[in-house]
Amino acid sequence: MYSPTVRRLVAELPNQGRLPEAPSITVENPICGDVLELFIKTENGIITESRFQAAGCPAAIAAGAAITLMVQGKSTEVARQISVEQLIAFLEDLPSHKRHGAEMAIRALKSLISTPVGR
Amino acid sequence: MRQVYFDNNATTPVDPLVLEAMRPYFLDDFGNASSIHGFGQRARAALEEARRQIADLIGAQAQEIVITSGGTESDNTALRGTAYYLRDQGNHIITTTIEHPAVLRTCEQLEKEGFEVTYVPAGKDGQVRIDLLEAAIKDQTILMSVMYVNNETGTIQPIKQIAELARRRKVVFHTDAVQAVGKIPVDVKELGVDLLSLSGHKLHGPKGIGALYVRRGIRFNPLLLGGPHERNRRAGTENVPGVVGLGKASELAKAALEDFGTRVRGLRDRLEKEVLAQIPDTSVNGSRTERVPHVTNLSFRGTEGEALLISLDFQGVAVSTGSACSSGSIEPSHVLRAMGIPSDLIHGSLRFSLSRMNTDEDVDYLLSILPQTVGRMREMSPLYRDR
Repeated sequence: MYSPTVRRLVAELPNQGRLPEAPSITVENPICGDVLELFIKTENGIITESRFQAAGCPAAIAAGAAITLMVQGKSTEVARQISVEQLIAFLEDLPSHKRHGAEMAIRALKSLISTPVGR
Repeated sequence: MRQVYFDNNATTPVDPLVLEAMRPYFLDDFGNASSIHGFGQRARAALEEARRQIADLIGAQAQEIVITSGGTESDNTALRGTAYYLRDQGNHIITTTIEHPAVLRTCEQLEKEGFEVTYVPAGKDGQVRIDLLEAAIKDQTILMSVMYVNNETGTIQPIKQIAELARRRKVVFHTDAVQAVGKIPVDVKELGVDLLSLSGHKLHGPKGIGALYVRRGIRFNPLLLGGPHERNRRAGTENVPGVVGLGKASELAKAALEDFGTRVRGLRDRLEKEVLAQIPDTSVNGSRTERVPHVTNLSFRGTEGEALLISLDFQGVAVSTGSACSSGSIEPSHVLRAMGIPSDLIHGSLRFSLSRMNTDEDVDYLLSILPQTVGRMREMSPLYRDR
């Protein structure tokens, strides 16, 4: 079942919300229909703020919340290196059939910060 | 934080009077009920008194009650035992698409063993149509199994009419009544069923104990072989404390049936009415008339049941959901799917199942947190926002 960290993130939803001025991306898991919207604001190459919106299972929601916590204060160079395994470790594991939640979140992160976000 | 338990279809707390009744049979009268000495005879007397209490709850004779380890074993015994016993007369079994896995997986195993199984669907109200059951009967049909009350929606099936059909067509009829016994009046003679499964932990008894009602004259091959226990129908030293617990739970459930049908129904109805009034885009799954008094299955559009469940759990409220998917694909509740409920509503479904131990304050507390909890999930959803 879900780890205490996944359960806590789903219950508390840290950084849930939108940053209307910041670059964002919406990704969808074609298998189960889960959707994650990620917002990342940077200043001088450093991630200063991040928010997420999600529709889906606890794995997708927790992965979205976890990404926003993991990238906070990091340079985009460092954030880009975060792997699916690192995200799953942060979440204290995911059921194997829920890995797609973490994969979707990493896909969103890499897509969003691999393109120059300016300023 | 207040703790509210609204997951009584999963299991119920043991009634303190049940625990009290069981205690002597662990410590003092611990004998093997097959032993001739006093320890054994006292255990035997308690076992038979409990059997009488269980029989009394469902209008059966004591000797028609076979003690099992629970609902799953009762279902397995009824289906496999009957199928093997009647194999020379036919190989066709009829059941429904909304049964508990204890019936569905058993039927799938029987298919692997050469039996043919017809799975009759349920309508959107969760009810199985008798004409479809009748149409499925053929010369080779030996057994029909239809659950009395669905565990997810609380929908009551027309068991008396189905039993009449089965009798008319000379087919043995089993009902999985695990979610019915102790919740609504159940009388096996009035219903006319041949076999009926019940479970202890669904009616404030202990886990690991259940019973199979076997109408006098109905024969089956036992699942467990060994000693002559349970009149050669289920081998194994009897779980005397467990049976005593189930007996006491049966007695208490019978005494509480009226309260269940009025007070608990009132709690459920208020919960449902207020939730529907306070939370938009909410719907009830299954029949609202042919339904047990203590269950409501609600869908909150634009939410995910598992996430709602976790959020409510952090606020002290325990419920359940049919939304869980598995193996990387959408595989939510087979019951709601079989009823034709749209996928997004299945994913946003929660089941609230009450018991006689719930109070008005429990409902008040739920109503004080649920609207915000659902609202927050919807606010988070990119899909709901876009609607």
